[in-house]
Amino acid sequence: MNAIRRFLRLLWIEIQRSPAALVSVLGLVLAWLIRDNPPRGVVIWNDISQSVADGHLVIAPLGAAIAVWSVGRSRRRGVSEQEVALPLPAGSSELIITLAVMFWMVSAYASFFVLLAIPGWRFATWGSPNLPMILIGALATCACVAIGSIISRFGRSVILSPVTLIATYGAMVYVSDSLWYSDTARLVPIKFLSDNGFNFDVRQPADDFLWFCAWMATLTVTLIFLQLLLRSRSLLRVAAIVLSIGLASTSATQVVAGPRFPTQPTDIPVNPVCEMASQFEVCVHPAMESLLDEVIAEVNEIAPNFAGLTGLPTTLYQTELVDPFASGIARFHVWDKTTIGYVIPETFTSFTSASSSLDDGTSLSASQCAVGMALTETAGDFPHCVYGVVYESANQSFPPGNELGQRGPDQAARDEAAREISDKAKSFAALTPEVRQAWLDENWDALRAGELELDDLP
Amino acid sequence: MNMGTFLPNRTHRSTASRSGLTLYGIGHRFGRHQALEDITLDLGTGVFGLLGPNGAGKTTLLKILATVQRPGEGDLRLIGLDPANGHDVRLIRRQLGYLPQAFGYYPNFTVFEFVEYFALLKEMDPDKIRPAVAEAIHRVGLEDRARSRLKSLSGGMIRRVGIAQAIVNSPALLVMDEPTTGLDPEQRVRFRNLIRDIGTRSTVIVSTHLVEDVSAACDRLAVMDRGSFRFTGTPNELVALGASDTGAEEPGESAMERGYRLALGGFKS
Repeated sequence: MNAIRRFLRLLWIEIQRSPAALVSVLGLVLAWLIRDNPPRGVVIWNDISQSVADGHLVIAPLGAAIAVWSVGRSRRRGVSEQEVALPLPAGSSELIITLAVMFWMVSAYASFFVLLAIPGWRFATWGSPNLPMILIGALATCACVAIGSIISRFGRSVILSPVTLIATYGAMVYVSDSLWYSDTARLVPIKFLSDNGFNFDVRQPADDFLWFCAWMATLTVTLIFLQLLLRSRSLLRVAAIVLSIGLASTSATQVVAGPRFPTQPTDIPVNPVCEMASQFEVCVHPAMESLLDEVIAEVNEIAPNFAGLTGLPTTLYQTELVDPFASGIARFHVWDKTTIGYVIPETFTSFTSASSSLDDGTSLSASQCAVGMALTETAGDFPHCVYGVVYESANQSFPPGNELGQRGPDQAARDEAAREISDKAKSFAALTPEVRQAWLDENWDALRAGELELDDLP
Repeated sequence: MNMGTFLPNRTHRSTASRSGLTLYGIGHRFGRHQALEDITLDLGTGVFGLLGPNGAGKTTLLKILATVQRPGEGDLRLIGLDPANGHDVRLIRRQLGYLPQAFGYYPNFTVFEFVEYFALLKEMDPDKIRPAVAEAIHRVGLEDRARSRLKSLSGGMIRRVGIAQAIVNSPALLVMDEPTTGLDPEQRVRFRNLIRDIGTRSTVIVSTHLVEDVSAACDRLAVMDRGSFRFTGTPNELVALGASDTGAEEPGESAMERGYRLALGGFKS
């Protein structure tokens, strides 16, 4: 009991005097300044949760840096010799300093959550705080502090702190960017969050999150045990670190071996908000109800160009809830107000294919793309032709659904194919409505079946 | 003038059974340099002074007594316990006060926090810590600066904070390496009174360059040079040694200083 009271009192002194207090304020301000704030016009808890979790990208490296500074304090200040003559091992005071830094950095993270949650509680139209996601950011912050704490063992130079800051941040960004396709990269919080981030209609399997939480927690504990062990060895400490390494390895293995993208996401049941537009029923997620009028306006502007054409879906459905292979339904993904103007035209562009879903990797052919662009042209603006058709028309091998990646054909071939399609789309759009309609009446089915080449277009 | 400085301990504590140290044949090397050689010593309660020139081995010996350093050879018992034993060393350190030559501190801590911090790390009874800290700060005369940050204190005050953290646990063994460095004459006098008081119940070992500190505060002393004792005895015996050879008197030199010089074999420190 006395040991606990002493521990708590030491922790309180450290918390009061820790330089991490100031750094946590800095972290909070930086996280606030660079937060992701999508202009969707609707507030959704999942986006808020994602922004909160992303805050660890700033706060955690700062925590690592200040941990290096704080834990290295006794050596820098020449107190090491006094501490050696104390009954408590020096590792104990280092542990307390580490915990004080964790307290401040997690407080900064929690404050960031509260700041972002205030508009959530007032305006959120859907969901609730995604606590597992937010928890991961907090655990990542603790892990980075533990990393900084152990790094302090390897030097006393004052530049070790800024180097740690840059290295920790750089490592996370490097892994998330350069090692994106590596399963091992899933051990980094930002990558894991990206892979497993919720959207508003799909909930990912919870056990994956639990394994990642276990990985972060056991990593932190292992590093702390390692620090204690480096200071003084005992059988108990060796046993503790062996156990924690075992647990960390197990949870890390589970995270790495887990599905990169969940194979069995759990739908969140909703009652969509639907309204009839010209010849199409338009349904949006209830969280996006405020966007429904604008979506319908966009549909009404384009839909007349498709009047009389056969095989079109009857319902445009915003969310992923609907069976992607259900006939008569086309899905679209509007993220915010600014995306309506290109998402809806692109959705209509896909109607030039008879494929039930373009999300299964099917690409539009060059001719389908050109006609689709022409039919969805509004006020002289042609939508982008999606799904990689420009590469196919350049006779290049290209992974479906990866048209924007780095492994595609050279840029010149892509530009040339896109130019040809664009030119053809403009030519088709320039036809008189009667000529265009006559051509569509005659060739629509063949076009949708993918039997026409670009040169077959008028 | 702050008359509270270095006042005798207000509380009476019986510590007769938990003081004393025994050294037998202690030696220590740093590479090829023999820092200590065949140091043998048996001390009970009281104040023991270590005199000697720079590099004599005083600090090395004090580090060994403070369990900071293990001796290369020899046998050592502190407060009746073996510091080579992991369990014993923790018990020793709970009853140890140590002020190193280069005293480090955390500038953002207040005086009270810093002394309390060390009291906590010395595993004192939590119920006794706050009064003990207040007492230690009172005894070094810093009670009016107890809430001041250490970075706002002078060098002498910092040294007094160091003394406070060393005595906060009423140590059975108090090891101080040049504790009077930076203290003004008044504070030095009060410091001598303090360690004399502590020495009535504990074993106090003080290293210093200043023979007047030794003559005023110590019951026994040793003169060290090149890693070994050249003289051990009482201050009066050192004075007597100096008085026995008046022919070698230097201008302005006291009998104790002359005794010190003679103990070093005529070398003038």
